[in-house]
Amino acid sequence: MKIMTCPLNGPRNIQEFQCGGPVKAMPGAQDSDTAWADYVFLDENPRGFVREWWCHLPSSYWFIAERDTATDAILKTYPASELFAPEKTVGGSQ
Amino acid sequence: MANSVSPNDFKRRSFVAKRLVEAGARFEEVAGAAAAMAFSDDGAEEKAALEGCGLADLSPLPRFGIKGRGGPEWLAGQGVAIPETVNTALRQEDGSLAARLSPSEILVLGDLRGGERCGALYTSWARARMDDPSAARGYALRRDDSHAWFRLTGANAPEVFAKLCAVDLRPHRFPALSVAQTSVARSSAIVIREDLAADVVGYHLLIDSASARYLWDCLIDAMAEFDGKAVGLRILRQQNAG
Repeated sequence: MKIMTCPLNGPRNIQEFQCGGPVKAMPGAQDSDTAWADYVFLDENPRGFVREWWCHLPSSYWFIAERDTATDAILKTYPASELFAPEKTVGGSQ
Repeated sequence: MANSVSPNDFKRRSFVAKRLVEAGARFEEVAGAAAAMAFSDDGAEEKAALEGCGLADLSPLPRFGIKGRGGPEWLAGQGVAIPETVNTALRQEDGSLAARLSPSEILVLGDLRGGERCGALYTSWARARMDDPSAARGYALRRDDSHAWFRLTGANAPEVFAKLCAVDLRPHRFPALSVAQTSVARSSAIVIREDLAADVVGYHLLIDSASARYLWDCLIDAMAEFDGKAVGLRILRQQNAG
């Protein structure tokens, strides 16, 4: 069984988690439909390092996980507040 | 002994009322619903609840949750003692229990008598929102509808959990008043250890109410090898009083 460490709940079976896709910057309201379509529908799917949203389903807790897609190793998990200011709900800082 | 009340006498019913009736439960009214008080008078329930494994349905009892910015602070202002650490719980003076599920989420489990605390908290919260909608006090969660509430107790309860749950809930690894939000029998669940009597380990188990009957059956099946039995609220109240 693969284990992921939830920043809130500790080590848990990977079955308790759901991936929410890569962390990326949200376009602004003035940006084009193309930019929004790219944001909503398209992902880079790179080989190697990725930074993603994950959710621990029993506690509905969303956090950030860094993975290597080549080795499928989970490199690091941490609260989203480490990446985003508490009052800031949009935007990315990759 | 004939039942003086039945689950169908009330608008609110436990999610597993049908199973309780099938198991021969005797009911009493608690908090506007029929609660299973006992299943037999031959002492087998007491034995199961202490030495083997007992499963009780506490779903008729009140419970309340609050989540969001300002929620825990508002609850503290209502006189609820809030645990400082996430995934721990605190016993309240009136016998209810407050569990911290995240920095901004608290779950309050009412006392075993079916007291008014949780209902009063919801009324206060709703009134405060009407008076001042903009203040940060989180949002109320009616846990009586969303979550079924079971209690697993007895010396073999940790062994039963070992069959259904990947988290180590044995007493020496999972201290009293610890909380685990995890998967039990592949259903998302909240497990809170609260021992009502000294030396008798017991866990509250909250799960999605839509899966209640499924999980009840899973637990009864898992308990069978440990002589587990469905037990009533009466035994738990006795434990709590002792």
